[in-house]
Amino acid sequence: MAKRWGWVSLFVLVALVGAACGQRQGAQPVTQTAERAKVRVQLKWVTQAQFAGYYAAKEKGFYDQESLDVTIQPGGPDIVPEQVVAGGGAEFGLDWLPSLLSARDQGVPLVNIAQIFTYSGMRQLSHKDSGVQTPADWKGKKVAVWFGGNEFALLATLEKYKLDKDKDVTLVKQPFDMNLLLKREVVSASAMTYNEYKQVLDGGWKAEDIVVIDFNKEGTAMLEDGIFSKADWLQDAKNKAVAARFLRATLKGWEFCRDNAGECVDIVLKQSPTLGKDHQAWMMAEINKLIWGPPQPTTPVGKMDPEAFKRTADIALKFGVIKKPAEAASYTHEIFDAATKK
Amino acid sequence: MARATAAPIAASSGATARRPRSLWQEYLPAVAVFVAAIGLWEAFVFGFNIQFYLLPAPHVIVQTFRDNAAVLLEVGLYTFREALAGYFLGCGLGVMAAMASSRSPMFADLVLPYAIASASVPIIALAPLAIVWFGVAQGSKIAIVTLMTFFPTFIGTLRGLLSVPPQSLELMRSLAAGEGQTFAKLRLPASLPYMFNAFKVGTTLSMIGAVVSEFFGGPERSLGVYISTKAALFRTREAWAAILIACALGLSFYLVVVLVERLVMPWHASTRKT
Amino acid sequence: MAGLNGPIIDVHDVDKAFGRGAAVTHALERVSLAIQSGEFVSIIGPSGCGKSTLLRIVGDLIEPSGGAIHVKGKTPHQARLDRDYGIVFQTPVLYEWRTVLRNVELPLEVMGRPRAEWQGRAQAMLQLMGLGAFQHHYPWQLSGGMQQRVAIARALVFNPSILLMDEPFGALDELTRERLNLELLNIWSQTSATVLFVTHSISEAVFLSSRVMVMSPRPGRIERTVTIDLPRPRMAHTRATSRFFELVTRVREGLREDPAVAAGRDAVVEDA
Repeated sequence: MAKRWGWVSLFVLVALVGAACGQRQGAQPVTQTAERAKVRVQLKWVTQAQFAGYYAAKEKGFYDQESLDVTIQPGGPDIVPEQVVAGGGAEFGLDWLPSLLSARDQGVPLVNIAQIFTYSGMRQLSHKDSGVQTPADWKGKKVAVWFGGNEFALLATLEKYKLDKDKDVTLVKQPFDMNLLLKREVVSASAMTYNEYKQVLDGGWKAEDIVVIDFNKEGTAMLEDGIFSKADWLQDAKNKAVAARFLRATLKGWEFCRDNAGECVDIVLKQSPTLGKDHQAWMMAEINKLIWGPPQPTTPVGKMDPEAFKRTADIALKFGVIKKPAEAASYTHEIFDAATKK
Repeated sequence: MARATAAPIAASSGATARRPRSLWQEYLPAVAVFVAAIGLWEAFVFGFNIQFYLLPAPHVIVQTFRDNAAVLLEVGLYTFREALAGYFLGCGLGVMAAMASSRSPMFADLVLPYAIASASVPIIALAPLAIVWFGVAQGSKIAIVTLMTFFPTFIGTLRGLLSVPPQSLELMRSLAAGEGQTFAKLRLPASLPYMFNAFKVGTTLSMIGAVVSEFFGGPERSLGVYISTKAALFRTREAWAAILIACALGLSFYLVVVLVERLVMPWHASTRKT
Repeated sequence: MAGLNGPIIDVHDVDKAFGRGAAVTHALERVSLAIQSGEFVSIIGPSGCGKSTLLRIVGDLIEPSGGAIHVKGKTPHQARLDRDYGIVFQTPVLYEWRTVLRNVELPLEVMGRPRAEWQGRAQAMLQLMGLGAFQHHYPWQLSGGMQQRVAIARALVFNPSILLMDEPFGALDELTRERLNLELLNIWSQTSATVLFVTHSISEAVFLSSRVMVMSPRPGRIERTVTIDLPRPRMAHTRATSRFFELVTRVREGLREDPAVAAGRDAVVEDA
């Protein structure tokens, strides 16, 4: 009898200790030596001009000027920035807004502190020979999209054109190359203006033969690259200040890349020569368009536009990305304001 | 008078006795370990307050499974069919290649390097290529699974066919048996244990191959795409429920093969009951 | 069939060498022997003397390097193709995926006999050897001695003229071996087969045979032949007779003629 109570009490003890320890999990204090702060930012994909602003800010010493030691962590196919930040692997992360909303919906306490990309760079491409001119022409055909959080603009577009996603089209998970489209195995495939579109051109298609369906024009576009952090980390005033400094330097980096695209391409190539100058230059030009337009953004770059947020949030709710409506607390202007005050 | 007794002189029955094991006794340890593991998992998640998106507790996974049972079964079976098709193709080709290799050393020398190469290339490199060659639907997945199950079957069967004890062959020779008779009556039955080993290994490989190759592109209503999509959206619970289905399918597949083995080889040491 | 008047097994100056060049081993050197139909002949000699090799040459399982062999007046190769002999090895060599009955049926199956014939003859053979109750058992369920009896049944099921036996009881204990010796003689008396029996055991050789041929150590030659005039049928008590001991001694002497044997280099089992 005593033996059994012994085991039970041991178990309870272990559980309590575990719970107590668990509370502290995830809240990473930022190491500071004097004023200097060490932070890590988790990119959404591998090193490329899509993230030129960060690399420029580091290379040109903007982070340094803000007393920040920034480690830029490249992403990849199986790296989910929300998971990295939530798990304490980075202080800042980059991802598309729907993914962030989905994480929040599941209870992960992340908050968008800046919206970098004003416009969506995602398109659906078809060859004009396939007869597709508008999304209505997708009916009865195979359409490819990457999934993993970026399919919702497509789903919203299907709905707009009254196409049932299970019955009227066959959706296929697209590999990270454009072969499905180039080989005509699918009639329409997803492409980013700054990346896959160029791959299709390199694959031999002529620009005048490519039919581009633009979600921005269809009104179903969703916000893409934005910076987020953990909400509880931001509660600390010291960390808020660090975030503001980070954002300030980052925005400076993006401005630099707008005005010195060529130099930024070289900075990125220095980090990773894999894609080649040609491709990175294309990417830099397209990324600049997504941030700065044309058309001219209606809100300052980096400040979340509440209307654009709502559009994305509504689509997310409608298509089951999130089960509860997104709260306004999903994003904050606080950091942006602090960053741009000086 | 030094000869030690090698075997008991069987006066009456001559059968070697062995303690019979009931089905219950045979599987109880595995069941007990399973239950204990689940219990430990629950305690761990609860005790250390593990966030669901890192590791959901078992009861949450079961709940999620129940809520999404229809979808999970649909995608699970879709992928399982790919695994099955590739499995039969791979095992079939493996056995045939082994038979040909056992009859012709020249053929064996021809096939072996390619067989080894096929097993050395990782799926990550092959999956995108398979999609280019065989399309993004089931074709590419079946191709990958075929490749994965070919090598163990080929090697295992070949080994079995060539591992016949010399005296067994001498016996056949003494009876003036032809090559074909020796093959059918000796080599083939003697290699069954080796073949079944390979068949068992192939079951789990086939599920893995099908699911993983779907990560690189595939129809939406497939298990691999489901898992990767849910994981990316932080829907860890659904992802785990899908993993549960994958495990269940793989295990069932394995057990079916074990059952077939028992039926086909009641005489083998590993399947004897008494 | 030719040669009915001559020896059923006629071996003349047979050589066998393994390997080549510097690594050559002469297993047999100018071995000659003749066995008449219906005889039971044992070959005894130290380990490595080539007796098993000789047996295999007679059975066309090994090619001789030189010399001439005639089995039933034919080449060993032809005799093998005509299925003139059955063979029993030191281990039972039963196929574990076949029941006892199916193992005994194997020769008839290979020979293409009709199915009904297989079962009938195999069952009869097993009954004869007292193994009828085990026909549906698998080999692993039988003791070593019983498995060997099955092997003998298999070797005789198709009624061959010759039975080649390569130390068939070598892996068994003394008591089982003596029992099986009796059983073998019993079975043999009911067939008209000629037996060529290779063994390590002097007492076994004397007990079973009509003649015992003593082989020298490598390279093997037939050193002497001892005719065993013990009356048949031989029973357990035959081993206790003085004539038995005399013959055993004669055989042992034949083995000891070679100084290498006297030095006890190779173990030859003697009865205690």
